[in-house]
Amino acid sequence: MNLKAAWKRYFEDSKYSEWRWAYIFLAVDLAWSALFLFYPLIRAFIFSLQEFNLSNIGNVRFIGLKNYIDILTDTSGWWHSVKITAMYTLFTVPVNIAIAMGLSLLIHPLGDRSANFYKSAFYLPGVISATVMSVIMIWVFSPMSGLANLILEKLGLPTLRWYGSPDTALLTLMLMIWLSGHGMGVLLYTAALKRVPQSLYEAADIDAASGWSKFWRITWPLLKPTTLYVLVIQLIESFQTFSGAFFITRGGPIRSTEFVNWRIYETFYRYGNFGLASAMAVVLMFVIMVISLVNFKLLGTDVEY
Amino acid sequence: MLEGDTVTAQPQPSYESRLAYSFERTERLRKIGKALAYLILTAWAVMSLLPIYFTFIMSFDNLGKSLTMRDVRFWPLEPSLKNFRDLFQLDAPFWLEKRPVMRWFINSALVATIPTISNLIFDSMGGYALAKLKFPGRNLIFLSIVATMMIPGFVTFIPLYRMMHEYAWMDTYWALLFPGFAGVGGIFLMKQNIQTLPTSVLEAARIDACSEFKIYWRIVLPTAKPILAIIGITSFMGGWNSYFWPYLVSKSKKMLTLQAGLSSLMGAGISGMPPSLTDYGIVMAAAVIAAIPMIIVFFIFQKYVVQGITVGAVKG
Repeated sequence: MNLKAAWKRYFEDSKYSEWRWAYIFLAVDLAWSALFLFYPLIRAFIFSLQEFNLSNIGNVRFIGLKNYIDILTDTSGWWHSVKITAMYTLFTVPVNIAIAMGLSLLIHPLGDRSANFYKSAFYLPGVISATVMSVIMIWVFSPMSGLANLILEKLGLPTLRWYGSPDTALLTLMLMIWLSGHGMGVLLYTAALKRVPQSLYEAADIDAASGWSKFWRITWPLLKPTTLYVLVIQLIESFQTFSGAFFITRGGPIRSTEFVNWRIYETFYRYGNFGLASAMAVVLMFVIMVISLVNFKLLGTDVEY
Repeated sequence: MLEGDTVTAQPQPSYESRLAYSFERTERLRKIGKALAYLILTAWAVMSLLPIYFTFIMSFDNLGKSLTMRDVRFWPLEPSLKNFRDLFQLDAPFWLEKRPVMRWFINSALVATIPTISNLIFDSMGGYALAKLKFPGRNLIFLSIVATMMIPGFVTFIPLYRMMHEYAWMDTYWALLFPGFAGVGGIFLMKQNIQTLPTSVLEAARIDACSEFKIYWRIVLPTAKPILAIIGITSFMGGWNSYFWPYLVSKSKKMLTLQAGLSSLMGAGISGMPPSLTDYGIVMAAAVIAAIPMIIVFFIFQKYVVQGITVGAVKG
């Protein structure tokens, strides 16, 4: 009993009880982030400065910036994967934003029930795992008997080899995103459209503004923060695109879908070159951090209505 | 001038009637526009959902060796559970080691639930400390959390994969579960949310000699229920759908999750070569088993799934 009272006083009457409680609340988080976040992060930096191959695992040594130099001078196929990823990003992110915005503008005026119906319909592919979506897409775009080819055949058009040919493999992966990758955009845009004050449109109606000018003068500027947010999220996701290469194309055919993340994966998982792969991942991390920082700057100045 | 006379003789339509006319016109335009909107939206939804639907139907159909237009149907031609029987190898001879699909399902459920529960507990605790308690190092901890939120997965995957070897954690539940035990994103969201709780409420509780833990348990947690639901659902779905980490750390068939097992069924392995599915039926049956729980969760907790997407966008 006495001990309990002492314990209680120690924790609650002490001047520092708030500190103590804070550290107790944070203890697990701190331990976890030290073990599974900061320590691996430091290890990644260390790996990136080492010649660390699974073939020379007993003989790991520091080689300074050689891995980074290898990346930048392209002895590792880095720039090829950057090119592929950039092309993929360029053709998916803007298109996806346009599709998401277009669909949201169509959904917005509908009643709540049908709006919710369409929003769920567009988001549904997003809750299904990348694995399952890949199974579906492997069938749809199968070079032999896929749905896409069956439809082309029915229409009397020439069939394509889709992901089976180096000319169309990247395009096929883009097509998959165009078909099913705008759930998040639609949800964000429809939420943003709800926040646009209706009085602005009423004022524009009195001035007999056309729908076109209403869009460019009211909707577009007010949606700008959302557009920026969606843009940044999708840029970051697109730079790290992986599942398409992992499940469907395996980086091929003839390296035509070798994304940055696929390059990293092959470097450490297939070739066992942990040093080089870590250096690649660190470079990717800096690119993504620059995008996020620019985003914070832009959002910080432009978010007010 | 005569002009003035004509104006008085033939008065312009009043402002109200002009307004009514333009409303009528816009009303008609709106109706046409609405029909068009429904048409486009329905077409697009059908385009993105129909492949999923066909896949579901095919998994319940008796498929031949290769798929043809005959197999693309709105209802199975020969409804059967053959694909599922094949997936579980129910008709295989007794001495054959069966594919442990049930085990994969349980593993997936574990990967989805255990990190979710621990995330809810520890993210909310950490979030409360960072939002409402004053202690040395608070800003440093918060800043390091914000700074690590955007780190791409591969940066930590590589050393973590190495560490799992070093700790001899490969192919164990530790490797499967621990890296998702807490999450910086969840801590950040909790902190931003708890910050909106008025400090005066907490002060009042402190004056009534409530311990910090009691404040957390009785005041902070109940008021944070919506954000807890959002984090819980997001983490659950993320855990169930994760494929890469389970694939990396499981070596034996028994330690795979549904997603990782599905990718092993797809025969992902040869570099630079697209997979050629030899048995669509089994793969599609496994895909259906992997997808259905998420579809159910999505329809039950849709509100929180949607909020989970939008909560990050609104500046906290």
